[in-house]
Amino acid sequence: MLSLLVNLLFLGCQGDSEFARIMSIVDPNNSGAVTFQAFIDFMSRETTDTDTADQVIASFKILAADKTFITAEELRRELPPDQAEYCIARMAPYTGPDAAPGALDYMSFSTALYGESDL
Amino acid sequence: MNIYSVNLSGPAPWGFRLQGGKDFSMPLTVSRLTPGGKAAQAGVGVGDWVVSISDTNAEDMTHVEAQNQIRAATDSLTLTLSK
Repeated sequence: MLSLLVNLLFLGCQGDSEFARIMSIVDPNNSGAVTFQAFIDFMSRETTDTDTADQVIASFKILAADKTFITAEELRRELPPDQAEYCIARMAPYTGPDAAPGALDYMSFSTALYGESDL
Repeated sequence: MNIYSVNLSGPAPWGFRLQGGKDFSMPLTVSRLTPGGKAAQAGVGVGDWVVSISDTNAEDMTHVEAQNQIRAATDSLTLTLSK
């Protein structure tokens, strides 16, 4: 779960400078590894709960090529297999007006991760 | 403790943010209301506890279960809350 969140947030970064900034905070020793504590400290400092859910949504949106839903195929293509299967198993089907067969609702999934849903 | 029920006419959006759930070790509450939205108009208050959703007891629901129950309501949504 943690690695999924790290993946999604880094994928959602706007550009290399943002990525470098975040990496310098969560991995100050440049070890190439992010500890759980460093990640949590970073998230507590940088974001409110709502911002975090929005950031995760924004990251999924990039993976979904700007669509309001994502497909299992896109998840398997973009995420490591265990994370992709984690998402696919838990995402509800997307039922919006623009839904397609196999559409998955990443927005509800993201807000539910943080225990907040706009209904 | 003041328990009351509201019946909101569909369709969604119902105009509130649901927070908490068994998996977050927090009661299900209304953490935000859309000004002028259906929930606000019905008298729902920020901080109110969600006791039941569509006549199903919400006390042991995880966040996703509660979310799905609410999403399953299309024509109308009945909520029992506690102030």
